[in-house]
Amino acid sequence: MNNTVKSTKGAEKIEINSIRWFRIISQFELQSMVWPGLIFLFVFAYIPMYGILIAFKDYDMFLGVTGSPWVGFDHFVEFFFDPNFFRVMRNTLAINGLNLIIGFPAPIIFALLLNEISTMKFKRFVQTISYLPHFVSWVVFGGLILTILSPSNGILNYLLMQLGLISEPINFIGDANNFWYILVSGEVLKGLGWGAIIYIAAISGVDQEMYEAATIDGAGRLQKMWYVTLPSIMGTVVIMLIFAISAILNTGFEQILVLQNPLNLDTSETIDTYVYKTGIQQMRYSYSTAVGVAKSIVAVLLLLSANYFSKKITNQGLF
Amino acid sequence: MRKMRNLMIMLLILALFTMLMAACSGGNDNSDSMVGKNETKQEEETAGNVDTKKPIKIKWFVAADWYSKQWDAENVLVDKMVTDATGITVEFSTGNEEKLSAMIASGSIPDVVTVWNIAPQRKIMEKSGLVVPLDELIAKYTPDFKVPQSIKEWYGDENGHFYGLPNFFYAKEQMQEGIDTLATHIDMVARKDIMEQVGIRAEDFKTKQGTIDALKKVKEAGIKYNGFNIIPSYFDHHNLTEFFGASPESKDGNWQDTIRTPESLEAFKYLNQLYREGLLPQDSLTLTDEQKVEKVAAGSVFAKTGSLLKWEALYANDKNAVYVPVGPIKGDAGNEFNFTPSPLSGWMLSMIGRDSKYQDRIVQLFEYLSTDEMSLNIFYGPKGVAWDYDEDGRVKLSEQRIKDFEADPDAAKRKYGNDTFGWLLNWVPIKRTWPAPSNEFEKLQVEHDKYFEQFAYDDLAFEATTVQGGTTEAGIEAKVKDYRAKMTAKIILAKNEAEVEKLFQEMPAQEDKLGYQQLFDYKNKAFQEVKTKLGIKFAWPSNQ
Repeated sequence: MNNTVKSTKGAEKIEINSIRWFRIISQFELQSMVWPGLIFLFVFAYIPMYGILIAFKDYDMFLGVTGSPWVGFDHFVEFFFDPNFFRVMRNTLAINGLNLIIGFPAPIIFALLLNEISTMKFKRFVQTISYLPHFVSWVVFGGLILTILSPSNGILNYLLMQLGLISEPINFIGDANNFWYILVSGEVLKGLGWGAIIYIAAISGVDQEMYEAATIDGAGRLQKMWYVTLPSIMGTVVIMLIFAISAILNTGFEQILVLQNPLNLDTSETIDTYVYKTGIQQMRYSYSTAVGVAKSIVAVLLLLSANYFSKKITNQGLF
Repeated sequence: MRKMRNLMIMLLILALFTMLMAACSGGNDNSDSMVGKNETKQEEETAGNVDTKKPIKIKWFVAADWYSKQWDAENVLVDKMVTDATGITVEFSTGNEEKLSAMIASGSIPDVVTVWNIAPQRKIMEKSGLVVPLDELIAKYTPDFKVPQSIKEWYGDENGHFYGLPNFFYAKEQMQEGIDTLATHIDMVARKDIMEQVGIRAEDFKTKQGTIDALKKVKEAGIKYNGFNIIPSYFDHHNLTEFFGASPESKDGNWQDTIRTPESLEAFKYLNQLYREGLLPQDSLTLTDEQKVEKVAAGSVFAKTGSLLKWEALYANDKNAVYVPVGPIKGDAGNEFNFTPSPLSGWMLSMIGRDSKYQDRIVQLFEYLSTDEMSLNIFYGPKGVAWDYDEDGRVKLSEQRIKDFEADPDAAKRKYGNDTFGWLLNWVPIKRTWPAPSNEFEKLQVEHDKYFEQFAYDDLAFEATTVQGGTTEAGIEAKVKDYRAKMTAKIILAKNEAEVEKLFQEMPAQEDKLGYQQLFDYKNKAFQEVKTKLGIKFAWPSNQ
């Protein structure tokens, strides 16, 4: 019994494969259009991977990639057994964890709320205003944050003092305990409108008849949001979540460098900034590459497992 | 349908443009190679018959991506002067050090390459033979060209060759005793207007207690400037350690880290005391230099260390708000002042490529540019037009030049080309003949520099301890630096002196975990080697 099932399955597979090949050959001209894309991907994404070799070598510019001596896993060992490894890893995970908890749902909620605004003009206005911070560079945006939080002439301290909530100005950015929250709120504020675009697009694709049907069934606004809109955009949400999880070892870079100072180094040093300082700035390309490779491997594993679980639970995934 | 048509038209226009662009650049390529061919032909014809003024074009790469210069011998006076004298037109290209690495990897570099002397690319080019030993070229083409011995020694390799000429090198044999001084960034200044207001003298800052009393006076007077409360001080650990006389060389002649010395602890304790008494704000540790300069410009800082915190902007608004030299504070041990000067070993090194056809002409160009007067010409513009010597032998800028710069500084700079070709510039003659101050601000600057330069010492041997990029030690140093930045902040903000001591004692152990010993060995080895090369036993003045 089992055998027959297997064999029919095999036969099906072969059949599907032959159909595919047939299609490729019969539509040769049309299918050829994908080649430039494939070649592009191969040249710019696959050939450079050859450079990964230097993660296992003591790269010397003059000896080149092939000529440099092999050192095995030395650079990986240096990174993983660095006395600062634990701290740097903790900060990276904490910042991204917070980002996942606060920064991920925020644009979704924002998009849902925006969808409920019925005045077109006002909706556009709100959307434009919320996009704007995305186009301001982090150097400027970070400068704004620093100015607002400044203990000597910042507006926040002034407000709190005037309201009588504090008696002495607080150096917010000088306290290591605040850094994660300042950073994540800054990121949310800056990325809220931009991040919502994809969800707004997804919402606009929801079939209007479903809302009509829901209205006839007596659903209120919140119920429509919960039972119609949200499930309809779930596919997009899941895909975005998988991406976010796979990027958990990447923290933004400029924003941290801008907000970092000696007093908050304990909580503000992440993998990216640490490797920038100890690797790239010191022209230690092998070491930097090794850390990059290690991060990529973790990212791929996270991506695959997130995808696997998402498929199990929600039946939706990337592949 | 109409939309489709519009789209098609757009695409067509785009395609046309692309073709046009391609055609243009193609054309350029052709003309370039034509010129090249002609030149080689001429070269062959005149071989054996050296014409030192024949117009040639050399390619010069500068590994500094901010640099941009278009050689224009018709309109720019400095360029005209050089081209007229040597027949050479320079075609500059620039980029970062990675771009130079790519050139090295391709095995072909331009006629001249200028690179930061501590960049690893420099050593690679020397070892690979991509650049020609300058001593050999000099012996062959310009036997009268005298390069200071100290440059030859400093940049020389094991085989006795040296490969390039630096700019901003302080050659000992060119320094005139009692006239030439070393520049330094170590300083301590205070606002004169406020000092007068509350009755403080510059001498009060010569002791630790005196400084504290002075700062307290300012704080208690509750002075406001432009509506801001005056910040008593922006002092930093680095400057104070130098004031207290921390030695970078131990008594037995080994290199030592000044941050680990007793003087460093003393500086930490002092800064901590200032912080606890409200005389040093917390943000002195968190602000960047640019942000501090803003505070200085707003007029809200009374006293500060480190001359990189400029105050021109403040002076422009208020002619009374001037900073004058005070202190420096003497430490408990009463060590004499020996301040680290601005780097003496130079900045950028210019080298001649192995494949250059014009090696003879380039050495001649180097010789031409290496005179004292040429440094002045490059820096100010040609003598006679831009400047001349006054009766004291100082530089006096011409009326025309002053007028031009007042009218439009950008246009004037384009006209004179001053300070745009300083790759072989020697600062010693420029400093020696510095124009007499023409306004109050310049006068103050001169007085300030003179005051602190008397303490600067020849630290050449210590400059050899700079770690080469790309090495493991460079990584360790970055980690140690990062850790020290964090600890410095923590120590200065400590609750009491006992905690300062405790945190200070913790540092070495943690640094050892980061691999400090390896870094130390690297630096000490370089230090010992260079001392042998320089023929000295001790490098620190108090040890000598």
